Amino acid sequence: MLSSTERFYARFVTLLIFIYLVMPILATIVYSFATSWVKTILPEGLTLKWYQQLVTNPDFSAALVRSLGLSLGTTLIAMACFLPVVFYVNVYAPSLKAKLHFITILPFTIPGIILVTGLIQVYANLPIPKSLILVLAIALLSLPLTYQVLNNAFIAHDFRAMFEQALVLGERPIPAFLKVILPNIKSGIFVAMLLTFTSAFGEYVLTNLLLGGNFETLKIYMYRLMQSNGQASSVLTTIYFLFLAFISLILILIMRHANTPSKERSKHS
Amino acid sequence: MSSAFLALKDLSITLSGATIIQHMSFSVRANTLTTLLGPSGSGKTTVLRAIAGLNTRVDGEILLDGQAIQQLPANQRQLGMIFQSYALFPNLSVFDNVAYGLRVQHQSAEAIEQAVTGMLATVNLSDKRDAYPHNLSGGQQQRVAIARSLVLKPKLLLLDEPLSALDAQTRVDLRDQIRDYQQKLGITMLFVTHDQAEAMAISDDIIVMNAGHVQQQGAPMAIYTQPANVFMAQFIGHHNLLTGDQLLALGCHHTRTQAVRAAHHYIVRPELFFREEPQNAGPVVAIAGHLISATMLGDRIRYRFATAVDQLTLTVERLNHTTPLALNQPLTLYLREHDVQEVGPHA
Repeated sequence: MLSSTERFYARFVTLLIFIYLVMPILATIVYSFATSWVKTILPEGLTLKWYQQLVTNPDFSAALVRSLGLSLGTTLIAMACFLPVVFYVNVYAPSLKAKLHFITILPFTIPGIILVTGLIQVYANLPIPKSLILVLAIALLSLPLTYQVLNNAFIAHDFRAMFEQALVLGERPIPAFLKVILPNIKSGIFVAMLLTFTSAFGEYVLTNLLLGGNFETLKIYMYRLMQSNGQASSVLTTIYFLFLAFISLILILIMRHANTPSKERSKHS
Repeated sequence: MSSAFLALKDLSITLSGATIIQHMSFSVRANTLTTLLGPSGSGKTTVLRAIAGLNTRVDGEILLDGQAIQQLPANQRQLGMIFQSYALFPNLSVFDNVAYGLRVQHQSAEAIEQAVTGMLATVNLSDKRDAYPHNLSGGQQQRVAIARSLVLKPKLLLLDEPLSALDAQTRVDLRDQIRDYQQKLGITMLFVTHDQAEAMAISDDIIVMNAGHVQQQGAPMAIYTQPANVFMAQFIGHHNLLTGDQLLALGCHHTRTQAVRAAHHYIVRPELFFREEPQNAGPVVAIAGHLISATMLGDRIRYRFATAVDQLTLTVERLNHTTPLALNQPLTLYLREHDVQEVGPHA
């Protein structure tokens, strides 16, 4: 047990860390509403002008559409590629898990610049759109995260026995997967999708190196704004932050739901 | 063997490059409960999965009710299978779990309602029909799994160590219930276990496997009292496995049928030693020695008995029924020569 002095110091340090982390975010949010905030402690006035300006800017909506498209494409491709692999390895070839685990860590070890150089060298002369290469590259980079989350979804039950049981009961393999496996890993799939989506949404290094100004995503647009207009970039940062906070909230709710045993869902009455 | 309902002929199974089962043959009679018994790694689960159609590389023939099924995919074999982990579908209620196979067959809602309700009554789970698997005890979950298979009236029910995950009391209860369902519903069951007591308790027939081969097949009593070879003698019960040399040194020169030969193997069951010389029992051997340890087994006490013969200790049971006997006191045990039995060499 901590003594009261120790507890005081513990709380004090925690508070400092909290302020250190939260202040910049808070300041950015306030700044995005400020008319002007240069030589004063508090902003001179509040306004929604910057929001209006940003939202009506065609560059913003174009960047938003690109980011959403990129994230959505990455998420779908990552799921389409990795879910069958994780299912197969868990159900049919658990002995391959160690090898697969090793492969999934590889993306951590490859710096973006090397990956991009390699991708350009390999694909530059092929008639494949660079945006598709980007989607595939980001999907690959999301592998460690996606794999881990999907893999965890398979820990809870003996999915191999469940799948085989469905077959022995006369079911064909694909309906068996859809009816017996999928409903029991759906929260894992949803979490994996959200994480892939947000990591693709926030991707900067690869996008910038591979396509740069030709394909301005929200993140790249944000950096461009930062050079020119502080308030506009605060607005974008605020929107971006709230968007991620929203997704995190959904993630927390899913995890909490998944961890508490499901109540009597009165499906059959 | 009359009316072989299930017959495996010259079955070989290869799993990821390794041959697990080689040229195995056995058969199972209709409406019996047959147990595949063997130590872990003996290949018994592999054989069961091959019958269910869950293994990829299988050579040889599997005949079920006269029909060769080895080429059929698992979902067309019309078998039932019970897994050690129950394999209930956690997203479905008890009712929906049991109804699963009937829905795959597109049976009518009324037929499903009637069949599932009846089957839940049989396994005594009518009050749990709307519960979900995670709200049930292990024994209840396994009964749901059994109901889910039986409701389809399978030709053959395969059970893969169905009781291993349960506590001792539930294991015994459910074991008796499984035997009960088998006899009431008149279905053929093939039951995999590594537990001898379990196999002895419920089986009509036991097939003992080791290292991918059938070692012996027979009724429980025959398996226990007449092990066919040295492996069986060591695997079943706690038989004393002695060489002819050792028996001769103890003063035993004959079995029931013939003279003891030095290089042969013999078994003496631990419950066949006596503290008092049996009367009218033919030739009796007196063995001097002392007890060196006692293990309480609940219904009996197992002793290690050191004989005067060099390095030879025997396992003896049922010497007494109340207080344990004193250790390290001189003691003479008696053995009837006709209780000594010869066994064949290793299979």
